[in-house]
Amino acid sequence: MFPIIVGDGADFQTCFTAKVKDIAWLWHLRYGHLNFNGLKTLLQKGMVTGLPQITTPSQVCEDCVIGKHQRDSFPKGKAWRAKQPLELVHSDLCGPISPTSNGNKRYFISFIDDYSRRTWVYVLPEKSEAFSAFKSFKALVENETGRAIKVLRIDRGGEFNSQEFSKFCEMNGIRRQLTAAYTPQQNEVCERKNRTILNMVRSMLSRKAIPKCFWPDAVIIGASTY
Amino acid sequence: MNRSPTLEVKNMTPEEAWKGNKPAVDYFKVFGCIAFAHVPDEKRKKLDAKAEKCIFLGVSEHSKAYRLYNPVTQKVIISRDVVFDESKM
Repeated sequence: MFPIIVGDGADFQTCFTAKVKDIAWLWHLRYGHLNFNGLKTLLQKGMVTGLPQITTPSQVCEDCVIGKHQRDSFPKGKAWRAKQPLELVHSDLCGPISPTSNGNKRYFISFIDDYSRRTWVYVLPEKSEAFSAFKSFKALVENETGRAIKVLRIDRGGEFNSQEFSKFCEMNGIRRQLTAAYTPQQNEVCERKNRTILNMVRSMLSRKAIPKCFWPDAVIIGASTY
Repeated sequence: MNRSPTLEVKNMTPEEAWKGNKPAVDYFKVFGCIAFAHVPDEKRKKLDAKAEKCIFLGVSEHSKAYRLYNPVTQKVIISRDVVFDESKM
């Protein structure tokens, strides 16, 4: 089908591979960037006629990556668990919640000890209050247990990435595990807890037809007491 | 959530895993139920009502008492002498 100029061995080799690759690429493009496994299936099962023999090239089709790239899947059940209290603390800020409460609260921040999964919540008027909430949480639990917080797993929210917050963590020897940007999946423990808390709060407020602005009371009793 | 079961700690509540002893739940009340808080002697005259009608909001963080909301005065009060009416579910 294709004229092959027979020269010395090396020339023959390169010429041959280039031709084959071109055909594979050509059909890849003709089929609207169909993946090479798809082309192979068509060929092997004899689903179409007129398709020549194709070998899969090893290069990446740049346009396919640009057009089809997707997020990697997340591993399930592979996370390590803390062996003792305060070895790992998860934290996340939730809000702004509307309506604002009677005390002008708009956010709540939750801290979860990975070992016991005990939760502490603080309701906050502003995001910037997260730092002082963390300081009081740290003082409370470290005094209670006599241990120190070792690792803090948080997202890349501005409330956790301020200069003073990073400096405070550095001074106290707390290692921060920041999630990758736009990847709340890596902060799974907290995100799931927020869902449970808000589910509880909605049910509790609905049952007694309590005005929504009472949500901080429901959040506190739901998360830390029940 | 600290006194509810979770799959992540087996056969105990997070509260027990944290503290080491079983939590008591006998003080739990339905959120938002009617509560009558006792009005102390100092705050009333002979024929004034001895209780005020409130709504249960939770447990006080600092004292061993309940947190109640009086919708008439629009104030949150902390009281340990409370009669609850949970019958109106």
